[in-house]
Amino acid sequence: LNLPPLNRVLLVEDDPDILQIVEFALARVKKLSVETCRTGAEALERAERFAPDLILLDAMLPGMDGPSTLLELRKNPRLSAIPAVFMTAKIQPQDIAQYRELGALDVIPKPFQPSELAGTLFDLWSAHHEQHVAE
Amino acid sequence: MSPSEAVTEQDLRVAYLGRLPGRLHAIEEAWTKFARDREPADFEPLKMHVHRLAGSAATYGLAEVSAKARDLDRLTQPIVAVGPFTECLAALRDAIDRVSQGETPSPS
Repeated sequence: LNLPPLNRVLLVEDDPDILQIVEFALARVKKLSVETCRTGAEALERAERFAPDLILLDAMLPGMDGPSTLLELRKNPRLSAIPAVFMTAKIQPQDIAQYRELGALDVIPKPFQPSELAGTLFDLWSAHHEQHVAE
Repeated sequence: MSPSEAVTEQDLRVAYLGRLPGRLHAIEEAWTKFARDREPADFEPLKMHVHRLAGSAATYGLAEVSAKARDLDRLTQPIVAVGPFTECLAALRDAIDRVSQGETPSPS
């Protein structure tokens, strides 16, 4: 199976401490380019220009929260197919059901192990494309 | 992980430790303001600072600081009880003091 490469990740996170450790964790992966932004509004604008392969999205954001941001992304035909993964501490069953309903690929619960983050993202990426091929 | 990467990750932890007193100050300031004025608008910053610290401390491998912050986080949903909040805030302060005064976090 020839998977499309995961080269570009848009990270949407408002906490500078988390932003820093995630950027560090993903910077270990060669050929992976990571753009960061801190609000949902910024994410909508940045996604148009950056054309990410995958969006890593916090759920609790100031102003437009993560689920609302994903909803807006899904309304844009140019961005609607980009897989999105929530990275959040909001992981009650009703929260997860909401993320899935919005079309999120999966949820990475906070706190996470920085050293495992890139591997988790690549696993989700592979599973997503394998599922598409199977369908 | 190569040794140089390990050092860099440790550097991030040390830098985070250096920021912790500021994060605590932000919580204390937000709490003081909210407890004094009881303005609903002051509640959101308090909740945000506490929630962020609970998440980030665990991610940087500071389990005790995260647990104390998580206790506060629970109290910010949805009603703040002044007595328990003050007690939990003191416990968080103690935990941050301990890690700031020489406890070097081990790599997680």
